[in-house]
Amino acid sequence: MNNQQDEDVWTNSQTSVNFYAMKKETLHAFTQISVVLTGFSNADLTGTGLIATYYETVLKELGAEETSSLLATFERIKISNPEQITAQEERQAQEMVSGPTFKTAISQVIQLWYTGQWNATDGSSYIISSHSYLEGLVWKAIAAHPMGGKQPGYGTWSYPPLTFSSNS
Amino acid sequence: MSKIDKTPLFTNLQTAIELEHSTIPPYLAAYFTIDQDTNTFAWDVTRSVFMEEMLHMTLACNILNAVGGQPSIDNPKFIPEYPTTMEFADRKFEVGIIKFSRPAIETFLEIEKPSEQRLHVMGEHMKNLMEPIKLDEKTIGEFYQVIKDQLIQMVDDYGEAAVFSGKQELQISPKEYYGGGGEIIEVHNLDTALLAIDVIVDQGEGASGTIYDGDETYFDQDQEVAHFYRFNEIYLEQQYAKGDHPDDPPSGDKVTVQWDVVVDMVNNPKAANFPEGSAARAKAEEFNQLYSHFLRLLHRAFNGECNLLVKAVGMMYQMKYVAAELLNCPADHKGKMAGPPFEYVPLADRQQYGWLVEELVEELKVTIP
Amino acid sequence: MSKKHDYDVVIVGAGITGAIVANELAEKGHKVLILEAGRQKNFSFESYREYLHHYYTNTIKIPNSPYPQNPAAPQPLVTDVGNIEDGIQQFDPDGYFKQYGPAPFQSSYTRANGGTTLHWLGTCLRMLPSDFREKDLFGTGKNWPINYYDLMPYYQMAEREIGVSADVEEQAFLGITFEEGYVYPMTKIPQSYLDQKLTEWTKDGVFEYEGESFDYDVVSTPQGRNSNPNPQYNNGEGYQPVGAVGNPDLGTRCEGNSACVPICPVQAKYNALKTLYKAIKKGVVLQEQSVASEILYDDKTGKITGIKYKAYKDFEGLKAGRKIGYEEKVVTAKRYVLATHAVENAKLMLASGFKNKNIGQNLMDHPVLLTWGLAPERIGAFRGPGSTSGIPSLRDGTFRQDRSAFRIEIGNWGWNWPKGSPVTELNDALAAGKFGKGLRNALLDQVQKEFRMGFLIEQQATDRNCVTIDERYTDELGNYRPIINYNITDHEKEGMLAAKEFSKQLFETIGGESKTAYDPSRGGYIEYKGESLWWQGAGHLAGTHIMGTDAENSVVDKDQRCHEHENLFLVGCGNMPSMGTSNPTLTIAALSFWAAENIDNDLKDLK
Repeated sequence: MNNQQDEDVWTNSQTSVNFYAMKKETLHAFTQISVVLTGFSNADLTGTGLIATYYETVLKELGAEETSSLLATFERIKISNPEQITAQEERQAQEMVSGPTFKTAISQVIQLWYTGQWNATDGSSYIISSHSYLEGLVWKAIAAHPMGGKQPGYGTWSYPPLTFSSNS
Repeated sequence: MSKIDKTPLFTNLQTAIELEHSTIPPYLAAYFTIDQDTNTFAWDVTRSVFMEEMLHMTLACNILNAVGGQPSIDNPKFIPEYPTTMEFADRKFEVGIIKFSRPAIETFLEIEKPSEQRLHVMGEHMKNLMEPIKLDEKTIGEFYQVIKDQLIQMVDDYGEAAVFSGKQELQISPKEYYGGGGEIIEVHNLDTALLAIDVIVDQGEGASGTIYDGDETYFDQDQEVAHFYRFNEIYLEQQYAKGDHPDDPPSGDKVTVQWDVVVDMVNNPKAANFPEGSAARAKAEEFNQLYSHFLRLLHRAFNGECNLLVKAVGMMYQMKYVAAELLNCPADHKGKMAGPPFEYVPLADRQQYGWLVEELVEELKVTIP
Repeated sequence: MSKKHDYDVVIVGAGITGAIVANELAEKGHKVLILEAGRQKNFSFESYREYLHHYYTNTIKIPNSPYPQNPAAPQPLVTDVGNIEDGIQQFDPDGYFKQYGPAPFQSSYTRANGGTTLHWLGTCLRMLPSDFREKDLFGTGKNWPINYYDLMPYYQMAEREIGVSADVEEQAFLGITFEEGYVYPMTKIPQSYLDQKLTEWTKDGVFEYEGESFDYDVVSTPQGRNSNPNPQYNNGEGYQPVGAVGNPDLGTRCEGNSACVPICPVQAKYNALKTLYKAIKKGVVLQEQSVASEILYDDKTGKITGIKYKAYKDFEGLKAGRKIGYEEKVVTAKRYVLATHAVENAKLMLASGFKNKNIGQNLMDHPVLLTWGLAPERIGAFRGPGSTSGIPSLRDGTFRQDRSAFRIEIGNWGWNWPKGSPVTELNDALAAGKFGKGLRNALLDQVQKEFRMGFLIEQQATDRNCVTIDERYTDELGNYRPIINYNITDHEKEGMLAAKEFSKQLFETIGGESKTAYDPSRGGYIEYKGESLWWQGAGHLAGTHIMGTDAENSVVDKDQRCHEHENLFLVGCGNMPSMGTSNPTLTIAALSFWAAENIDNDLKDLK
């Protein structure tokens, strides 16, 4: 139960703290790969306010070399529209996802986006911040909301379930 | 029985509904751009104020329904285009969708200013507020007085039953309305109509001559400070103490307001101003869609389908989350963030955006996959 | 010569029972002190939000996850129970309880202002009339010295204090009756879409078991959670929902945060801070960071002469290896009340050398058998309160001679409790190589159909299940850690078999798919008559100082006064000779009102 991020709970949330400080190209590349891996749109990922924070986390946890290798390998697939990948592009992406080189890292990145939590290979884990927990994409994927936040309002649990989770 | 011409009354009540609503987007913008934990006091105040504006709007609809009128919510003229202007005797001022800031609070002070003629200067910022704001050359308080007078006169001339001819089932009851702001009053006669108007005026401006909003008298709640004075508490970063006089500065506990821990939202965002294909544009359009669905639900709720008010409130929650997403999207390359535009989307152009309720789905003729 | 006391009443524990007793006695003009072991916390909403952030950033979201562990007043955690290795149940050696098993005791409680109501679900079911007379009716368990009808007026008080939402027309089953014209303060919490579909799918459902046929119904669950006030409540006076302490505009309706356990972010769910706050405004003194360590009493008369407690200082930033500083103090009163929950109450009495042999005995919980699966179509899991309906139909019947009754709780949060969903589904999908839209669709399709049932199995009181103490096991302040001996009986296992069969039949009836599969390495796993069974703790700890007719068979009388200590009252689940199949909080709240009345009468007599 690691609460090291408690102080930083809100610093990265709604202000564009590090967004323009980082190399735009790297963040762009990270966003593109995240769109493909998570299945969520650029608008949805930008809306979390966590692209820069997650990139920092990945950089810290995987190291500069593995991170740039991951991004560079992905670039080579030359996906024209990450929000609508072709069958061919999907096959190539699947090779990366399932292949031995990036399998673990990719799984960790998707988990980070989906749960706001980093799960290290040694079994330890931590949640980046309250904000990252609340922005976990798993809840959007199942057309619900994070337990304990983004409450939908009185009586809404009586309605039929949504059948898709966003306009994307 | 001679025919009553209720048109002037209907017009004024519709104007009242639009007036109460028009303050909601600016208050929401201030509320959305701050965070509950880093600006707790301001967050609580802005939340509480817009909940009360929702109450006022609902009360105005109840009055209009009680006298046989029909609130019109889902129409393109219902929302002003922001920035909008309010006029008074010697100058105009803007009301816009801007981030929480001193200018925003100054505007809110202007909107909520009491109709008391004498206003002692309480701070530098108050020097410019010597004149009450005007609405057709009246203050908001005076405007509502006109409605009161109209009702009293008509009851005198035609009797209560003829004036309050609306169906009881149209009234929004406490069952459908919650969240603070006070109690909903179901209107069915002159007394309840006048009481409803008093609530609207007193919560905004302050029960005559005091900083309190009369909630204690009406709702048996702990005394609450009226909107105007609450905004002043934010501005001066200090609370009023029990017994403070409206003409004096607050003398209670200091409060923390972090003016710089605020999302740097672009002023008066418009969906079309964000680049095509950008995250800001996508989310701004989504927001406008949800907002329009919200107006539709309100419209139907206030026109007979009372049970839809709960669903409208649910839509408001979704608007809040999309607004939060929007505030994380860059508006431009200068570091400003996008924000909720509150623009009307015509019925024909509305779509399902993830979250929707059955009743609207029917209207949109959307097929659920 | 009368001795001057510090207070009229000293209450140990600031949970729901302590808060109710304090509030009622203060209302009657008495001078009351509450000693609370937990850390000092003010009643602002910001203070409460600290719990919320602690929860958000906690990687393991157990019931105590928002409430930081406190070495001066440690709490049991459900994660203290480990796996079964080589047939032996493992326990975390750093866990607060010292458990000897053989079965794991898997429930926990919270030691802070508000107590366990901070993390409870909010279910407010009255006990059934038969639950008070099990020994007479079925030859099992114990009888209460009072009955349902004695408790009825107090149930109403509890329902008002907590603020219970229910439609009374739906709640008169299995012998439960209400006073003429009674309605609950608020109308029922809207039933989830899952509940509605289950109602439809099971309307002709019948449970066949051991030659008997049982019709059953899905019924809305009364809960301490804000809903629409009922204008007819209290002879037309109506009811005002009580929002969050420190921010009363928030929480006037449930907003569907789906985190009731372990914390309601807006306090739409009742927690005892609401009652505590009222009590303090009436002049009750609340003193935190005061852990009661011994009850002092006169050997000859049994009269309590004072409560010794350890007042500890703040220890944030204490250097590693340094002990927490505290002062020992004694406080005196005309009447004393122990309200620290079943296990702590017993522990404290044992630590004080109380002689009654029933103290600590009869420890009970509700073992909960969990089953889960997929509905035939999407029902939208993870929305709303943890449970909005249940199936009460098997809570009573002659079969109770042979097997435990159970109450069925329908769970709205998918397979979260048994499996850790939706993260487990995410991990499974990732392991299978899914990503992108394929991942999203797989999750959406599966998780939206998920639901689980919890079968709360009635547990009988037996003296083999007990709380004891031992000098070898103490906490950082030198207070005892509770030692637990616990097991379940064949009577309960028979109940679990029936429960498992019920689940199987229900999934068949609705055309769904059961996915119940028990993992032999998890705590709570057993095999019985060839069937695998698995149960978890409901968080209901009871029986450790039961109510009865005399000191031979019980610790307190029906006034909740200790048989052997006339100026000491005990409140809480520890008083209950049986729990039946209902979550006990409503019943102990009712009993607390009654205890307060008794204490007030006592004090009036003294004057």
